[in-house]
Amino acid sequence: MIRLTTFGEWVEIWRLPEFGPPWWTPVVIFGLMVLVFAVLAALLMVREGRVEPVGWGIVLFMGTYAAFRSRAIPYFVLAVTPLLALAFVTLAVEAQARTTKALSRRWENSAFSDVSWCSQLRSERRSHRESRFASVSAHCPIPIPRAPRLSWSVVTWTADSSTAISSAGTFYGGVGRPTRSSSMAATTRPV
Amino acid sequence: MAPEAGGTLRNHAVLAFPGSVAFTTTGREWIKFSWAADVLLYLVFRAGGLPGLVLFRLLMLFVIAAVLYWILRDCALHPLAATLLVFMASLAVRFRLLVRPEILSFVLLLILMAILLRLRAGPIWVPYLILPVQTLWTNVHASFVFGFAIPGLVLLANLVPGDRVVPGWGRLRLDRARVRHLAAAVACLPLAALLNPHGAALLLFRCARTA
Repeated sequence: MIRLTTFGEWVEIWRLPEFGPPWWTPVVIFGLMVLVFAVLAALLMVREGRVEPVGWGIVLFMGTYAAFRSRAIPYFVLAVTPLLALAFVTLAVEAQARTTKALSRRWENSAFSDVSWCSQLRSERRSHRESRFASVSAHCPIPIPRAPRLSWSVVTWTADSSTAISSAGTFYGGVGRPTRSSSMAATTRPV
Repeated sequence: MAPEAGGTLRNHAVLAFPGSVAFTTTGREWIKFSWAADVLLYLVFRAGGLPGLVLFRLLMLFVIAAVLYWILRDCALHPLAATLLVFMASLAVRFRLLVRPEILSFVLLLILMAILLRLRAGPIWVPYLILPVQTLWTNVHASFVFGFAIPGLVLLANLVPGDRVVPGWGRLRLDRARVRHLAAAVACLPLAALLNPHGAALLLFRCARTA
């Protein structure tokens, strides 16, 4: 307090007790950050078997320093927040990939799904056409040339989850798990 | 006190003034870590007075929040989650957001983190950007030791063999060429830190104080 009385003109801007945050705010945020990071890192370690050394290094090195010296809490928080964000994104991508995979598996297995119904109808029509052509050409003495097939684009939502995973990876900037490449968003099939 | 010291520095062009500001250190070696920040704060004070310093403090809070938000969005975090994290970080930073040199060091720490997070996607020379940041940080605040520690940590993490070790969950994993450049930049960090009015004495003083 000697310094404050010596430089009295600075007291006004140096310390504003009425507007200053309570002492426990940074302590609570520090604890919350450490807890959330530890939980996320442990979760990713268990689910993916991967360890993130930079984040753990910051938590152990700067976190320990901050635990003993409260004025280091802002440095710790600012340093660990981007790694916390990366952990969140990685976990989100991983969870989304799992969910999409599970959903698509259910979709494929469903007997009433549009995909299975469409493909079934398509194959029935194709086999009917083939059988008609075979019966006509069998009775005709001149060999009938096959007419060129008309093609039209069929945009099919692939049952494979790679498209969804890839788009999720693109959305999240491609960080985290390596995504499977996909070129199956739209396919042109002869009908 | 920082602007007061900055004013003395600017007016008398001296760095060693034992006892002129803090009487408790009379006769001891005076290493001024934050001379650049002091001069800057003094100039702000001269330009805007006490309200100018308060506005400067507010500006720094906005800069910290903006840079942190940009970093989080660059990490592909959802805007809502990024806003929430920025809010939490601002609460943690706020109690040390005084008119002191460390408000500049918060910004420098965020710039360092932004550089490190661009190592993988950016050009090959990106690691060398940490050198000017370190020079600036050494002349601004004593927390410049984090400028050695965090890039060193990223370098060490990339030197650890094995697929299970993923620095930054893949974001900080670098190829060999980039690791070499980062190693060169980290090796040059002490040289960059020597660019201060006290030279090696500033680094050694910090080490001695820590010890």
